[in-house]
Amino acid sequence: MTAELHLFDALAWRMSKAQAGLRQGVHRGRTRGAGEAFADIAPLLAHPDARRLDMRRSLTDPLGGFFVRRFERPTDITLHILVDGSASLAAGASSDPQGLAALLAGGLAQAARRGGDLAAVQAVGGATVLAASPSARHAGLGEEVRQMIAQLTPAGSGIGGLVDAASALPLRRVLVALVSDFNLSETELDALLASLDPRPVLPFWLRDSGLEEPPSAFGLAEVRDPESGRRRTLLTTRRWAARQAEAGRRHRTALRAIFASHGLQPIEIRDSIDIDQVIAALDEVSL
Amino acid sequence: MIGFTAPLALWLLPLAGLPLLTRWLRASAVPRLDLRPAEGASRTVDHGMTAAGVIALAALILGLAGPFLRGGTAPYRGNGTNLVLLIDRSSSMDDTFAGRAPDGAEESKSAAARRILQNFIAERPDDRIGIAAFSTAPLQVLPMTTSRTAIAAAIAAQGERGLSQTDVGRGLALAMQMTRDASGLGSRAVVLVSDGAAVVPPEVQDLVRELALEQQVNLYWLYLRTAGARSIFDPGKPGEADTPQTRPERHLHLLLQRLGITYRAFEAESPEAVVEAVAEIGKMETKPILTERSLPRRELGWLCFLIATLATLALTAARWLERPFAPARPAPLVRQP
Repeated sequence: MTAELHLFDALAWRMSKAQAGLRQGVHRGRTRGAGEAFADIAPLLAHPDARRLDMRRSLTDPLGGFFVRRFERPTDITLHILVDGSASLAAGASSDPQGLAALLAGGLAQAARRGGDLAAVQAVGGATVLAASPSARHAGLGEEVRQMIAQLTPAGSGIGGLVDAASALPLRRVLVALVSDFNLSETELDALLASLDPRPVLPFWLRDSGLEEPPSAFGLAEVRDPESGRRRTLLTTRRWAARQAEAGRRHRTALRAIFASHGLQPIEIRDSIDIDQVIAALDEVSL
Repeated sequence: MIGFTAPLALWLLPLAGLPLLTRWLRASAVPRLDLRPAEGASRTVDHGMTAAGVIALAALILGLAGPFLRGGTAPYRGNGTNLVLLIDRSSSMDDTFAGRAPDGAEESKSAAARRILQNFIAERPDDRIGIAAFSTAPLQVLPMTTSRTAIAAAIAAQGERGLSQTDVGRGLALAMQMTRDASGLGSRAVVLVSDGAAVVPPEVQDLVRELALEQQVNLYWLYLRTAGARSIFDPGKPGEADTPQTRPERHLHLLLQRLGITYRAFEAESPEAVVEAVAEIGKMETKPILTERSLPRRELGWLCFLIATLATLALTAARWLERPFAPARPAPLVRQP
């Protein structure tokens, strides 16, 4: 179990903007202090740290002032893992969405701890918070988070709770990892992303190829929507399967367009997690 | 009208609503059905299966209740008439046409009349027929009915030995009264079968005349003339006594002619002549008639069970065709390189 979590140790995210923060971390900070990245030069009187006296700048100053080099003080951020725990999380055919969400949340928490960041988790189903853990950075956090998500019972429908939780998140020094199957309509997704908007967001899209492309064998399939409880009997034919797959493709394209309109590119996890793909995607993404 | 042999079973009928509450097939969870395209064929199958469940249960319960269509009569327009057979039961009818006691070779007049009348009514399914007899006193044997078996039995029952007198006048009155039971549409006819007549008292003559005018019956007299008897059409030699007492048949004929209704007399001296006369009457009395046809009680349970079987077969076929939306084969959480 923990072996899988350790695969996430290599996961790292780099924030494009400098973060305001005093605690030591690995991300670019806005405060000046001891660090490796040069920030600017300041008068010695303003920043009385004679150890970092910039000799060249001081000697060439026509007014004879003394200047010191200032460095960015690296700081940490909080990774807020927001798990969509609505009832559809329990519905999977070619994948185990809840297991995936649990592993992802645990792995992200683990990676955050390794990278010196804090990790907080909230699993929201419908309008209620199903499980939550405050921001923390202790050993074994990944496994704890994974257990917590794996053991909750997905329930509820809609994005009301998620929007509320997203709006309540802090605006600064935060990275939001949104783990969901995104079984949402375009307007719902738009509203959810809008509620997260100024914050950097990493959407993880749990996809299930079995549900997206049902087999085309002739027969009768009874389906139940875990969120609304609605049941329906379907006459499955080749044409029906083709139409379902086509409609699914169109819907996903529309959802990707919504993500793009918010400047996001979801990391799509199809049936199982490909760590290399996730790492590559995280390298590319700008936060 | 539908009846039930076990109506208490109908209390189970609300159970037929169960398919509206439960589903027939095992469901697989598929999120957000509202975002998936719905198809008309699927919707039809969906509703059809619920309907099949309801129909199967309802038909089964109805079948258990044992439904049947109550028998009865249905009005029906046929070709025939309202006919009253007025049969002479005097003892002379038990003789042959030759006026002898019947032996093996020749049948009696009454036996011949019965046989011929049986054949006659067998060929006329739409007639409403009543039977009256007369000898010493008139006797209503069978009120007007369409039941063929009752008519045949009533005619057969006239085989008993007759009595001595012949009260033809009151017999006619009774027969004409019986035509009051005739159906509204259709003609009324009285067929008098006799081999003789008697003096009709004046008050009975008046009664017969009144009834004849009231009912507007067609009257046929099938006169079974014994060999040697005088013809009713024979006016007699000049100077010969011609009184009701001496020639009652002729005077009955004259009386009937004067009634002011359709009247025809047939003289028959042999069974063949009787057949001809009866055929003639049959031809004349074939007119539209509103009669009724009896409907037997019909069990409907088999129909209910048939419907239930078909609906159950449909549900069985649905189970046979059942498959999961997508096979549940979760991939490993982490893709192995």
